[in-house]
Amino acid sequence: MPEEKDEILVKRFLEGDERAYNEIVIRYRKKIYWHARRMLGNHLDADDVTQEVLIQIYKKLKTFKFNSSLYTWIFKITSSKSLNKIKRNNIKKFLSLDNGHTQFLRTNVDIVKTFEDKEKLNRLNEILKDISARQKEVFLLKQFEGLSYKEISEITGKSIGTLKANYHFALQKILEKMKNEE
Amino acid sequence: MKNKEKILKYLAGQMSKAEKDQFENEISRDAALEKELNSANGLLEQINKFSDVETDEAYFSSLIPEIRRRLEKDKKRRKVYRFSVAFTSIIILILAFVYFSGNQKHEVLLSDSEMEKIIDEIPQNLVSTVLSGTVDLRGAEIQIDEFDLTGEYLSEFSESDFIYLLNSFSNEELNELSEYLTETKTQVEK
Repeated sequence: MPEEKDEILVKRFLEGDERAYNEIVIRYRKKIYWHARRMLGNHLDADDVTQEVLIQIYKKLKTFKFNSSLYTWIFKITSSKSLNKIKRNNIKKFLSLDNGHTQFLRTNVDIVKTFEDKEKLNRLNEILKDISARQKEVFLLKQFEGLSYKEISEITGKSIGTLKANYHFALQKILEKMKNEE
Repeated sequence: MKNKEKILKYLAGQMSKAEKDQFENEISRDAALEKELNSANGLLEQINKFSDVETDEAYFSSLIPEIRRRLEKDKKRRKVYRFSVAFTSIIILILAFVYFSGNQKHEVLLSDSEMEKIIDEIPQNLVSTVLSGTVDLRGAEIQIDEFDLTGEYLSEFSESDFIYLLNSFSNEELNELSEYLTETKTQVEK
């Protein structure tokens, strides 16, 4: 059976069909998780953000007016919550509120099955480590989601010129780092 | 412009149409430049493979029940919170009588017995619902397990806390509370 369009799912949800929300979650849960995961670098924080995003979708869907696509809207929420999480984590670190237990969980709790796969993600974290959160956001949306600058602009609220510059600097740092590792 | 800079501009989409055409022509003539561009594209392809990992699907399946559980819990908590807010607002307004109204700030207008009478007038179902509950004040949970008539408990709230809480009430809640307190105040004055 062909997938129902996002518009139809939203309409069904607004008419009180709770199953439509489940279908939206099934459609977007992995995209939300992986964007948050790449932004934050660990499962624990990505799980927090994923759940927050899904709850916000449920609560705010009634205000969604299709001025953008549902996909863009969901990424806007995910990106914004991921950036907030990064800020909160930085403040916690600064105030020494990030305790050892949380750090242990961040390193050890994961949904990735094999050691080899964990290593791949660690490598990605290492490559992305030295670029700013904003640059990382643009790089990930373009590189992994294949979004256009126009779409990224809708998500981030930044001008296309700024986004291109962010991507340029992210790319420069990433390619240099990868070449040096070779 | 160095090859590296040209490649970055090309990949970032920062070239004009004319620059892009020129660069693409250059690639077909300059093997070294072509090699550098291919190398950069190769590295980017490599990055995409870093996320190609096998995960525990049970996690994704558990998200819907978990979100439903949280939404349900949130609904219940909101109900208690609304009661709590209503109760807290009564406390705030009582305190406002005590500390902030009158000619002089911090002048105590009501005696302990008057305070006690006001508290006695608070609907009992509301009190019993919230006395064992918590109030979320700027993210810090305050346990309401007792009510200190001397005002010590109330003095933990700063003026800005009151304003913050009051601002969070709906017009309807404010009207309701204001009516209740006006009525109670009149009774106390009698």
